[in-house]
Amino acid sequence: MKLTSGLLLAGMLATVPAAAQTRPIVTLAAEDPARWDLGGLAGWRGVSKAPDAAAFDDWYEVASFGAAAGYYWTTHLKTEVDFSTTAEGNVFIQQPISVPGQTFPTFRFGEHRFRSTSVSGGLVYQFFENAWFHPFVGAGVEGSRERGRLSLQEQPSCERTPCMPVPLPLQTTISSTARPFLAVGFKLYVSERAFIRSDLRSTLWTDGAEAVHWRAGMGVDF
Amino acid sequence: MGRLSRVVGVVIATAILTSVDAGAQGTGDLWRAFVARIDLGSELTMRLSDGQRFRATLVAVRDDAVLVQPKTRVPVAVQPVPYDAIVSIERRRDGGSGGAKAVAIGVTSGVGAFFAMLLILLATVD
Repeated sequence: MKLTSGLLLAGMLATVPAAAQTRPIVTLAAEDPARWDLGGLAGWRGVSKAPDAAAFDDWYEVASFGAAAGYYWTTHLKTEVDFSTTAEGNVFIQQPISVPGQTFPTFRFGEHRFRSTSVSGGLVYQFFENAWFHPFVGAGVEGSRERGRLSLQEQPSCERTPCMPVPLPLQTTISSTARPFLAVGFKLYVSERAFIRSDLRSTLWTDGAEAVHWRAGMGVDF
Repeated sequence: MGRLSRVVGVVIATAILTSVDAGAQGTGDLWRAFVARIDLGSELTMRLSDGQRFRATLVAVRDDAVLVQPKTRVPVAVQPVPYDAIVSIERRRDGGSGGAKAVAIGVTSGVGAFFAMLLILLATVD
């Protein structure tokens, strides 16, 4: 009996706050909230090319263009898929070459030009409910395919007379990577469904940030 | 002894529940009197006992609850808020500047977009 009344009392006390937690007094969520959002984005992407590039120019910065689509599982949580491509950026390359029988190195130098295309997928958590301004944080994985064109010149060692650098054959490289990313940003609504969006995302690898991407654009919920 | 302890337990539980209720009831009366003096259509900032904080328009005043429409992006229904659930109400005086806000947002967005496009164009120029 004692146990029963104790359980009953505990149950009464426990269920009141639980009910209050799960069911808010006032509902701010729209009756029929939009499930999808779609946006176009333009931005600025910086990519680290250390240690291959010269220490004073080991990041390239480049314009980017893309689109993102998301599906809201709840009013706060969505899955987002994102596509983006960049213009061409470049870093300066300087490579010391040891020459047998010579006490000082000769140098190869030139430009490494890059253009990348990336696809990413991730989870986004959006703060606030049915508001005009929604900050968000996100995380996921970004797959990137980068095309590089390396044009180098070699400075031959000339003992007495000055001599011109010799161009080397153009090398083309293609590399693919998959990296985790973290993102932070906001959606600022200008009408019930249309929004301006901006975010900052960084792909991470063992040495820290490998690429930083700032983007802004417009989109619509539907 | 068993019966006595049961009685004591029931008395304590009743005391806890009624004291909470009495406190809420007292606050509820205060809020009922406060809301009765506010013009219908006023914009309010409300904070409730479940932690919710939102802006709303005062629609009607009833004996058991105040009817408000939360100011949300996508409009939501008019909803009753029991007086006991109210933690604070603040009347907003600057509720009528929707046009000015829209202009400010538009100008800020336009200027931001202009500089963003300028930066992007600069980045594409070799």
